[in-house]
Amino acid sequence: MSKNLLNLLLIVGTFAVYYLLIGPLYKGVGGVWQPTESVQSLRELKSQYDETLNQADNLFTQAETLRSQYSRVTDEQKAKMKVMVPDSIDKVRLLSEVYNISVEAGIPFNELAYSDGPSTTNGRGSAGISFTVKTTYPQFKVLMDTFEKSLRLFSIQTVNFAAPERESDPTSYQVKLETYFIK
Amino acid sequence: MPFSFKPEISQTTPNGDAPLPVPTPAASFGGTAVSSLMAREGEHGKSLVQLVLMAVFGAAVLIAVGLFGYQYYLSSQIDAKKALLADYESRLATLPLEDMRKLSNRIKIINQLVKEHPSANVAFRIVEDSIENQVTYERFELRYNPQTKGYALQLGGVAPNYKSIAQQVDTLKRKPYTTYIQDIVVEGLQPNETGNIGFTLKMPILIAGLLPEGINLSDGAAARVASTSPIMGTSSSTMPILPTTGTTTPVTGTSTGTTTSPRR
Repeated sequence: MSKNLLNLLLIVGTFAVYYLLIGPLYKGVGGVWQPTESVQSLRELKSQYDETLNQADNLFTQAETLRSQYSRVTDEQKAKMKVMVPDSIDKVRLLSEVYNISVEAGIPFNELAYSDGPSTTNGRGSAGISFTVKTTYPQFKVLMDTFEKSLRLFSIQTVNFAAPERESDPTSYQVKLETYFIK
Repeated sequence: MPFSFKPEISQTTPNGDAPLPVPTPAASFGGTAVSSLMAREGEHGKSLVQLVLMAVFGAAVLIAVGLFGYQYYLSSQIDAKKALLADYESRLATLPLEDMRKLSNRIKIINQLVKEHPSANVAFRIVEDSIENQVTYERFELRYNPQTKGYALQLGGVAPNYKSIAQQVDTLKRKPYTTYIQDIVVEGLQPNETGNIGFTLKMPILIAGLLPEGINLSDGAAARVASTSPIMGTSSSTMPILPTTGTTTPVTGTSTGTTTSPRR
């Protein structure tokens, strides 16, 4: 074989190796042969997997921490939290509960009404309770104290009262409260 | 003599003697020596090009082989990572994630609600503590404002004179009440048929997350003693509708001139 022919073959061979193997292998694009996955795409995929695995690792660590915290919460505590903010509101039970608070405080309601709360915010829904009581100021404070210390959470929306016409008359107090549930 | 362009060297000297022998050089300077050197250089140049071409070809083949190896390595790495990810998924699936999420959400909401939890008794206590003897409150309105996410307090009352109202406002603008009330607006100042001055106080009140036991009003009475302006004349206070003693007994008091006495 002449030297020139060999040189020519070497040049052609080099180009052939580049265009038929190296290029398609690296970029995934070739005229004759295309590998299923190029080195470039595999590298990108690997870096994506690395990132996902990092996130998964962090997530798993967090989940483990949460699980240990979750296991420390007793069933009793969970039940109490469910009373504080239940999963839903049963209108009748809620009215009964509020009525019992008034009985406990020794102040019967003159009016008691339920209303649906505004639209859900931050994963929680609400319901309104409004009532009117005629009582003395100290007794009203006791009633409000009972609501404030109730396990179910009540937030004040409005409290209104005015001095009665005659000093001997009881004062009429209008109260609107809001209670919450998880949506 | 035949004609020829090739000059013939005469084999004889002009005088007919035999010619002298011409000495032959030991080595020729031009001729064969130069041409052989050039030939060697040519051979050497061709082999260098060939060597370079072979090296390039070899490198290309090596790179191709290396890429095959790297591709295999990457594929196996990705497979290993896939398996690891699947393992994470299967381990996460064993956790009670839905229950944990619900509980976490519940705790977050409870925390938020407790943080914002208002106590009407805190407002009552602040009003009771800050009330001036000559002022009588007749209306009380505590209202939550969703826009400001705070509470607004509106008090309607009467006082025997403007000075008493100013004194009441001054009291509310002092410590410790400024911790809970930061801005007071007086409206509706108008004398009524009994000769008293009707007024309305409007103020935002910071009661969210506070309990009556948690507020500190101990400086209030002392501050009032130290700094209230003298009240001219004698006037009996009317019964405030918010007695501080916790009973319905009317709180009566007589102001005789210099200061109002602390109620606590």
